[in-house]
Amino acid sequence: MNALEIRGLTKRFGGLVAVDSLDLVLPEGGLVGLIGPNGAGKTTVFNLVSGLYPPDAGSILVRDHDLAGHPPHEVARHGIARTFQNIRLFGSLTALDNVRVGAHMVCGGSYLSAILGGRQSRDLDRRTREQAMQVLHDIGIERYANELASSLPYGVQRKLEIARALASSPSVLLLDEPACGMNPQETAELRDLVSRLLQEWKLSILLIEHDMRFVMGICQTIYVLDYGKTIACGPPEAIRNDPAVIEAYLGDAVH
Amino acid sequence: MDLARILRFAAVITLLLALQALFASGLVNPYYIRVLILCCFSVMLAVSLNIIIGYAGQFSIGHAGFYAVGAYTAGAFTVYAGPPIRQALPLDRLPGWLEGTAFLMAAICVGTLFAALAGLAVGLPSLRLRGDYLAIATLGFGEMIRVVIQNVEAVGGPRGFSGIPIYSSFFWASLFAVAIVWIARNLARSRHGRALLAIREDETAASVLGVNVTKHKVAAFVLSSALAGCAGALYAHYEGYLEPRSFDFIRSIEIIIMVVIGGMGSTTGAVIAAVILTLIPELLRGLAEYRMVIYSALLVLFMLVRPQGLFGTWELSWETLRTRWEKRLERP
Repeated sequence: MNALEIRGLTKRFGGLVAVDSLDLVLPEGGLVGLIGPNGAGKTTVFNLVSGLYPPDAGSILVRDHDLAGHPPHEVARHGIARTFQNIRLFGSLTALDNVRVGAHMVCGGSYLSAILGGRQSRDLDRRTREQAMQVLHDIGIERYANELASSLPYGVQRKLEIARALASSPSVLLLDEPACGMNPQETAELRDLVSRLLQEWKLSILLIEHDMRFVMGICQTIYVLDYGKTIACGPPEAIRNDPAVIEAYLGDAVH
Repeated sequence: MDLARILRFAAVITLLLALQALFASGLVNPYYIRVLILCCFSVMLAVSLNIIIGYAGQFSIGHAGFYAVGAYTAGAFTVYAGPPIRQALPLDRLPGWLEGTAFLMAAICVGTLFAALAGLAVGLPSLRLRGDYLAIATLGFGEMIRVVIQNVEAVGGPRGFSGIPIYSSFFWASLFAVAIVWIARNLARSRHGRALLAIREDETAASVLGVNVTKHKVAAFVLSSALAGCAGALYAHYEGYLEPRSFDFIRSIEIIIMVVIGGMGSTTGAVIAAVILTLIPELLRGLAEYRMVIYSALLVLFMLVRPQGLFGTWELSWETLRTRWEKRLERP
């Protein structure tokens, strides 16, 4: 069973084909990397999958549902969570509240009960608070719970964004350059975190990353995009020696 | 309902009733009572507007329009539907105060409902889009409502709408002010309130976390309009006379200034700024014509010196006081 299956996904911006009939399979519990030079269309793929852009063609299958063209909040309801390349936290909310927004869908509770301060709403609120604290604890940043998100150190912000995504109890996690701007120690921590997400949280992860050592070290399968097209796909060793990939990254001069 | 909440509720009612009894006794200068009641209306308006501006981050500049919808529909209800209802039902057997209260409650329902519908009609098309469309749409709506009212003879047109029975009092105005503050606070503490804050901070990030951005914005806008309508209904039955000029663009701006100076996103701030900005023109009676000048100067000053407003997004609650106290204890 595949956690996510993309077939013939295409997105055009005017005359530019940003993503050209992409086929991609993310197996249940798998970790798939998406790499390619700048402007290859990697983040566009994420924006298509998470519903921020409507695709021009193709399908995005999650458990037999085709999510192509659905709005983001519906895609999220099917268990797809993501992080952003340029961190998009809710800056003036505390770390805890950021995670509590992540738990929005799984929290429940009607509007009326909320504005009348009903018992149902208050009980749910307390439970969400505990769950959010648990997530912060699991990611190892619970001591920042009451700090404003915008005031946190960069590495913690990256982790908080992952924590927020986890709070929505996803089955598929899309990580957009999680190691971007991290120092070697933070990158090592992130690698541990990602493997824990796979093992303990039973997530399937699709990862965009520029740090080649990071990607080659942890991904089972790698897709290489260039100008919106898949130029290679396979296990890390095969990708490393693929002439088309080397050419895309380094240009013809190598030959 | 647990016991603590019932007790708290009873305590508030008792306090407000006691104040009402004191004010009715004639021992307090009626002018002070009037100013206090005007403060209650300002609080209702500022707190309800803060839901859409402060929490959801959507700029609405037609709040007085929804206030007017509530006031005029509620007033028209008691003036035109009141006599037939009195004929149909044996209401004269009830004591007078109870009859008045029943009509006031019905009028509040009418005013709230119509303002909510107006909110839905304005919000649904303009909140589907991103950006400042809501500001423009509400600006237009506020002016439109005023022009419509001025041209409807049944509600007095430009002469004003008089002869509305006076059922409201300090008790009702203050009770509903407390109720609206309570509703806003409950909302802020719920997942729906947090969804609004998330939308204010980053719509895209909120939507990928499963927040239906349009639905939450529209719901908040309808709630905000409905509460303004509720305040309008109370105002109509307090003043007994409505004139289109008191619901113009300037009134909307006054309410926005209260929210901005209080701190967008802080109900505490909205309450305090509403009270202060209602008292200032009363204290400076001699300078009444310069009221808008003073307001504008205050706004400019605040934008320069303290752009986040008096309170920022800080809220007064047991929880915030306790965390502040704990932080102080932690410090060596």
